[in-house]
Amino acid sequence: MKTFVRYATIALCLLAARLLAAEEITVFAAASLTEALTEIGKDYEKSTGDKMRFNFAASNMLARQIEAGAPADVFFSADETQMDGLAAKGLIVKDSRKAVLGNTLVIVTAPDGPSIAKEEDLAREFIRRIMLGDPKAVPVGVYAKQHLEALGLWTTLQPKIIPAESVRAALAGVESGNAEAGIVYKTDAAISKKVKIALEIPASKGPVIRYPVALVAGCGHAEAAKKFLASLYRNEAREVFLRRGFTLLTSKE
Amino acid sequence: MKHSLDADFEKSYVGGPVIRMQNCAALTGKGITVLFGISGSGKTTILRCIAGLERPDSGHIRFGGEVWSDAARNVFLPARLRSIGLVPQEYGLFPHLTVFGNVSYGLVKMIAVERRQRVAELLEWLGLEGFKNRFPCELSGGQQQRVALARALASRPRLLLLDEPLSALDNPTRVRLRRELRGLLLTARIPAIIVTHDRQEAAALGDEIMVMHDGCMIQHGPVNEVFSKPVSHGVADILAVETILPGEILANNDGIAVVRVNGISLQALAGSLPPMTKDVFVCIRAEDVSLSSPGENAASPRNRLSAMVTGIVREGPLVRIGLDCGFSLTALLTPQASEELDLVDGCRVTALIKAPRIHLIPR
Amino acid sequence: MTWNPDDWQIVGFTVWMAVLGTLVILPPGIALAWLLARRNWCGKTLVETTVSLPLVMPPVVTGLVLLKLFGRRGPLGRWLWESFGIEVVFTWKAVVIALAVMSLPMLVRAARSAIEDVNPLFEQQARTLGAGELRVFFTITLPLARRGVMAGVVLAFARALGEFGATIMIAGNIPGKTTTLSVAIYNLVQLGQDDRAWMFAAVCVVLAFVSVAASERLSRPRKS
Repeated sequence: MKTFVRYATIALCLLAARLLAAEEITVFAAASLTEALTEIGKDYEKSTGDKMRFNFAASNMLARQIEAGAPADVFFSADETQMDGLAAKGLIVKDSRKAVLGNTLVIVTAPDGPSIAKEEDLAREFIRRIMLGDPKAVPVGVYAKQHLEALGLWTTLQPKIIPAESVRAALAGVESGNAEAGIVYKTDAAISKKVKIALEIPASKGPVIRYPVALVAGCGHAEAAKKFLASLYRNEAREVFLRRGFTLLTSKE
Repeated sequence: MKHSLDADFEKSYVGGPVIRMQNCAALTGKGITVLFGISGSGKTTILRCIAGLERPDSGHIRFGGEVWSDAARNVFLPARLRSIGLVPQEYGLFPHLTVFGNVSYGLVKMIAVERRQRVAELLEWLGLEGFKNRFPCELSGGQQQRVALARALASRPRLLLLDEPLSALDNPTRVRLRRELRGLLLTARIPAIIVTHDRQEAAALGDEIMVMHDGCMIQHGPVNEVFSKPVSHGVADILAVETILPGEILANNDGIAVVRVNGISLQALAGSLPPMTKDVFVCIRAEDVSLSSPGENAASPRNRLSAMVTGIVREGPLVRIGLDCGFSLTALLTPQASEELDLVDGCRVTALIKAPRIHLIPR
Repeated sequence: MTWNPDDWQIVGFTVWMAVLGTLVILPPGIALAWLLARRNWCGKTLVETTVSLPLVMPPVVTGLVLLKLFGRRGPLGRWLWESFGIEVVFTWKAVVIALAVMSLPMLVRAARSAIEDVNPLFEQQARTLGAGELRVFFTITLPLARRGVMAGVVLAFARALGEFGATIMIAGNIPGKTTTLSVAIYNLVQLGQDDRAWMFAAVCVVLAFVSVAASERLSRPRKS
């Protein structure tokens, strides 16, 4: 009996050590990064043994959650504004902040939907509703509003705008046919078979889109999180982002 | 035949007895028929079937030539088309309407002026002037009963149905209204069926009586006849004939039978007993037993029994005397008579019963 | 932290939508309550259960079902659009529908209970006096069930005031057009404007308090 207890204790200790050694990293990331980061996360898990936990939602909502004390290790936002907000409150590790990705806005419609040659077409009769991320805070909506304002179309189009909770909600709205058009990222349009890209807004003409990433201050797994952040700048991750349609902002490290 | 009720139907509930009303061609006149029986004997169900609130399982109900219900032909006239007036046991006055509202409820077809007139007429006739705007909760039991009656009579129904009309009242009121009610109903000249389990009520109110037992109607006829000649032990029991005892007929001469009860011989009328009957029940009502001091012999009743008083109980205006004369007997006397005879427990008296008042039922 | 005229619009809109929603369910709700209380029929249990579902299911599930029904491509949505040119999803009509569906069970349950408490003997008595079913219902059943029914109406109204899950699914959050109090609060929290969110929350609490107090008052038996 004594021998059994001795060996059992040793086995338990080894197991605990193994479990403790494997870290779990929690990443709060913008909804538009869902597919890309999930893929990168899987690869990372395989190579390091650390567990990845993702929370994908509109960046503003994630920022609110972090403010309220949610246990995130990494915050990957779709715009600088949300990151600035957290920085001002001292909630991120400033040195770790870097703008990593860019994206393009597109106007999507149903596959059999009307053709849109230019943004002004959105004002025409056959477009009754336009889904955007909430232009008050959701990055994709903020970017869209910026662009439409720059074109002087915002006031005309405002009655048609339906604010959505996140970019994916906006996409779903167009997919279900409840809105004739929507403005989402090119990367989102790519994952959906139920919409077509009616018009692409090239980076030269559109708003500046920057996706910053940073370590959350006082997070539980700082070392492991740092390692994960570093991995985002490596070739494997960059290749995934590019394939999915993002543009790369930072140079290789 | 305008007012004749022809009913022959059955109604039963899941798990309950079958309630049957057979071959009843009652109410050929404008009188009052009493439906009599103990609680649970099915009287209310029969009333509700006649009213159209329940649908009989089989049989038919016809009134004045109109078919109200015929199970075989799937005919059923709902209550609202039957022109009946119903006074339920607890009066069922609508609590949210005034007396006026209640009484005038069935009078929608009249114009407002007529309606007011009719209500005033009824209230005056029933002694309820000035109660027009009161609510049922503000009325006494007797007043509520009269309002319920007024409501039932307002639209001049062809038939009145009353379910235990006096049972919800206290004793003094009940006695007083018993007399009044019969007068009111006869003056209204509408045939009525009254359901009751109280034999005094039945005797006081009814012209005809139908006795119910276990869901079946076992005897019907004029009140006096049924009371004095119950057709079976069951009926006698229901009618609360006080003394019912098994006896044996020893001899039958010229219509006078000699019956032995517990070793004591009594003389009774053979009446309509089938010949060669030997075993009978002997029925004696307490009202038919007279008492005299022991020893007196010169009185007409053929049956003189020496008895000992076993108990004396005051019952309303009368006194109920329990006797043992070889069998158990009950007598009903006035308090005066009881005092004159100096009746106390244990004293001896002579019980006198007239032969014609002893009723024999075959066993 | 100031209160804007826009904010009054949100309160007014919410109350008005709750009123409309309650009015819409009043006739069918009371009729249904009567049928459940006074009649038995084949499939009654199914109807009972379906009516109670919105009470027990997560509101977003109800919202999802409504979205599928009334969306542009859904059976009802398409029919309304093609036959009458009416759009439901993302309009105030969707708000009314969401509120109506979510508060119907409260009304039906309370009204049914109240009608069941009415002694059927009164209704039968009325029939012997010549009244048809409709007259019996309006002159006897409903007046006698009044208190319970009213309490149910107020409770349904209170529920409609606070409805969120189904509303946000089919009506979205379009400022000035479909934003109700609860949706506004949710939104403000997402924008990080907690102070303003608390302001609206206070209004919600006051409205809820008044409604529930009224409902309790109405269902208390009258002291005779």
